[in-house]
Amino acid sequence: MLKIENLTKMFNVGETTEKIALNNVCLNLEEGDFLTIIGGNGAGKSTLLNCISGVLSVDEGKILLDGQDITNLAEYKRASYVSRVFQNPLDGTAGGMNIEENLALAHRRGKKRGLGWGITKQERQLFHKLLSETGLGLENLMAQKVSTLSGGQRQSLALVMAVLVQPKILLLDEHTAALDPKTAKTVLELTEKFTKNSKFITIMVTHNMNDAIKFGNKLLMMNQGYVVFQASGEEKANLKVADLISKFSQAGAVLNDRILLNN
Amino acid sequence: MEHFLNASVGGIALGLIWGVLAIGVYLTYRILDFADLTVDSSLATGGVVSAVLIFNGLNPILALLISCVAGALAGLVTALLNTKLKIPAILSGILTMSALYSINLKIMDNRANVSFFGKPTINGYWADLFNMSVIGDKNVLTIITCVLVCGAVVGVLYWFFGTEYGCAVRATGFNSTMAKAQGINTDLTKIVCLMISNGLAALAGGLLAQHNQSGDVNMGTGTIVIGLASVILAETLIKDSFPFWLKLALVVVGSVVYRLIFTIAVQLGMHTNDLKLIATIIIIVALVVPKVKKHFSSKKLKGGLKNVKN
Ligand SMILES: Nc1ncnc2c1ncn2[C@@H]1O[C@H](COP(=O)(O)OP(=O)(O)OP(=O)(O)O)[C@@H](O)[C@H]1O
Ligand SMILES: [Mg+2]
Repeated sequence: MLKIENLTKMFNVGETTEKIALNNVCLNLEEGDFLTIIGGNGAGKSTLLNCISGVLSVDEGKILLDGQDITNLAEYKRASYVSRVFQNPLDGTAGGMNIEENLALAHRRGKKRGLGWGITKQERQLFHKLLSETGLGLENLMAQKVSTLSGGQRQSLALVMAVLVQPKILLLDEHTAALDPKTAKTVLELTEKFTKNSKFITIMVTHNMNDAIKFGNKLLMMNQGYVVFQASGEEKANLKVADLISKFSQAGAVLNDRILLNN
Repeated sequence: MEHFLNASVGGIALGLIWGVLAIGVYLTYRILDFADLTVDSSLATGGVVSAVLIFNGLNPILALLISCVAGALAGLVTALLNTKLKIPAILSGILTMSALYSINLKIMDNRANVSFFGKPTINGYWADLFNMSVIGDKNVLTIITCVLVCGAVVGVLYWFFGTEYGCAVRATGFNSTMAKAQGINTDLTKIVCLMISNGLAALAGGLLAQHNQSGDVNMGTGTIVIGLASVILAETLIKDSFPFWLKLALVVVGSVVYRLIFTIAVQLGMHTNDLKLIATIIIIVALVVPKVKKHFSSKKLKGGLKNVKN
């Protein structure tokens, strides 16, 4: 269970550019929950995810995972529980290493890395099997440098890597935003496949209100560092894009073209 | 002609010694993506440590190992400055390099150099074995020593970078964001890589001291330029698909080629004073060319991805 209590994050404290990116954010998620987050530019969505993954330190509040306080746990230690797919396809994989080496790195997330072989025979077989199941044809490119892959292939690989070792939380920060619509669809389908019936918590940030409604069982709307609307279960499933737009206006949010054009 | 041949053999011997350093530079500069200037002084540290130890009667192989450890400690200092105190990489290296100069002098009891003519060196083992003269056949003996040392270094590194931890170090260099997301303690991988690299620089310094039968506080001046030049020359031979051990071996070849170019240039009448200037120009050109290439290929890549932001 993920419990976020009164999380506050400020940037440039004491300067004229001081900015409260997260203001008293509270959040409760259960095992298997899939939360979608929407909000305009600068709403604090990425900041929230970066606080959960430990990239950013928090100013106030607590993050509890299964009762354990992980608020100040180092990013690399938190990686045992938290896996991520980034917006930029170049960020989630090591371009200079080949596919199987990337997978082998991900296969050791949360484990001690010693002087055993970086990749074993059994792993190669396992990876081949897993990649075949994704239906992307990556299993035939195992020894190929990741830098030679397309953005969509890289993002799919990053997704496979993120769930290769079961995380407790999977964070997806606009992981399809840099892809063309068709590729984005493929990656979203893969996301659905990996998260369906999963035991872990998934949090997906998206600019696409349709996707925010379609995916997951919970929805969170942010504006200017505040949580302005939350819905779950039945209520969430019955939401329409028009409902979300009116919620946005109630919150006084200025919707940018990117959100509106996406819907 | 005989003089030229002798000079070439000397060039090969020096090239192999500096090849050990070049491998160290390759590890930081290419694998870790960390411009480390510490080597300028850690090489000398290795040299003076070996010199003082052998002067005091220590076994030359043991002296080399201790040199290596001393260099690794210098690498540790730079790595800690960078990872824990957040000092930029280049500055961290410069600070350690500068401090090491004083420490190197201290190691020699504030003398600028220590000679140990007549004391046993590692070359002595082969001299006994093959019935050669430590002085007359110095270059050939050093070549034997260094081929063995380079072989061992390449072998050990090939093994290490294939291990789980070695892969973590490589991942750190390629993409530290991804490395951290995969649970790699990137501070520690940097520390380990810088320690190995400077350990190798000091090993080269120890070999150089044993070759010259003396250690000098200035023996490392310009080391980073020589190391980079060797790596860059090697990369004209290296293909991406080569196995890692071959890449490392070619870095040593790059170092030998670098020495031979200079040996030939000097034999052809070029003044030794001009060498550093020319080496620098070669490096600048070689450094700029891949950047220009990358610039063009990254433009292509951006066309393929829709608006990569953040
Ligand atoms: N490292 C930083 N330094 C200073 N300000 C920052 C930093 N990171 C984020 N901010 C600010 O915090 C606010 C929230 O940013 P955040 O990136 O979380 O927004 P977002 O909801 O992810 O927006 P987008 O949809 O554009 O990705 C913004 O005003 C942003 O300018
Ligand atoms: Mg964002």
